[in-house]
Amino acid sequence: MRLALFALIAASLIGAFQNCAPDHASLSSGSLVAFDITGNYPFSNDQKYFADVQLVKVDHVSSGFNYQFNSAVAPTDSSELDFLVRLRILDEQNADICAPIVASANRLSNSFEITDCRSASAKNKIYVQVEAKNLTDSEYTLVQSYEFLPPH
Amino acid sequence: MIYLWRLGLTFTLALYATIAFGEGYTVVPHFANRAFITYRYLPFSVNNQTGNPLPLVHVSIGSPCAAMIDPFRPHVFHAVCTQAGSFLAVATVRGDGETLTEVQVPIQQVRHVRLNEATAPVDVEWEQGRQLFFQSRAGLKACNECHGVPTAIRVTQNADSLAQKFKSSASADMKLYDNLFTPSEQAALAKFINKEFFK
Repeated sequence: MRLALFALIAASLIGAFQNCAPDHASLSSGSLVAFDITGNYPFSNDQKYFADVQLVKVDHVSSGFNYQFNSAVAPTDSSELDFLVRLRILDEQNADICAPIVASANRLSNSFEITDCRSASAKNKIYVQVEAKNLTDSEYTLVQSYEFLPPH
Repeated sequence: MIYLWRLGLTFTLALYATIAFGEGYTVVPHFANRAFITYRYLPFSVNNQTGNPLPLVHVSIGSPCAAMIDPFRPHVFHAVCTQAGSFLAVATVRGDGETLTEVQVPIQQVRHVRLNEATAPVDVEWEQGRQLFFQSRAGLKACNECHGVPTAIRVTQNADSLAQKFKSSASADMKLYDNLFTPSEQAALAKFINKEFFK
């Protein structure tokens, strides 16, 4: 009887602590070398928004080049409020390559795909500025800026 | 003997209560699912039943993703995946009453859209300096109109040295900029100048 009791407790302990063990797959599949997530951490302490922009495509078009981007902006807190996002796409001389994109966003809708940003000439560097503001704010705040070296 | 059975049962139940498994908790992705793409830091929070985010103790995810707790926001963790697919993170939160709870966080339909590796966020202060350098202000010329070539700025700057330049430059044009920039703007301008002209 005692043996059965100890076996029950031991089985319970093993069952409980199995969930605390590291994931076997993660140990064996090389996740430690896949991506330096802490070394590349891109956000600062005082940022009110998380943001990211990626260059998705560069097309040769009849009028020159078309650049496509994928971006996302979200508050760092758990705010459910709507906010405004402005994306500026600039060249090295700080001139707009195409018209700024202004969009309303919230927790459920905060991904923006820029599919039509045309330039007559090839750009060696492109900067994408992400700005955001609450609906009640008068001015946008610069959240993050990204530099791209587009292939042509 | 009955006492021993009760003791064992109580111990076992207490153990399971301490390591609960996430019932009643809500996973809150900060980005909409459409924004789930590779190499993007995808922020998540775990809220309790009253909607308050819980502090994170640990987060794990398997390859080809990595995860970390935000260094400045203990209620947020980030996952980054380097390949497309659907993945599962496990976040351990400190729940109400200090209970540790494991919560499974599905990260579904991550897409790969990035064109190349050249994506890099740039320093916000530097970016502000870059904007100021190219913008006219108060009807005056922008900095680049006179200092558009690297040789036009010969020494590195800081906020104070720039202020001094504007105040006591031999150039009457430069003096027009005295008190035109705030100290933080001067610092941003200096950062851009130093990085751009003294690489």
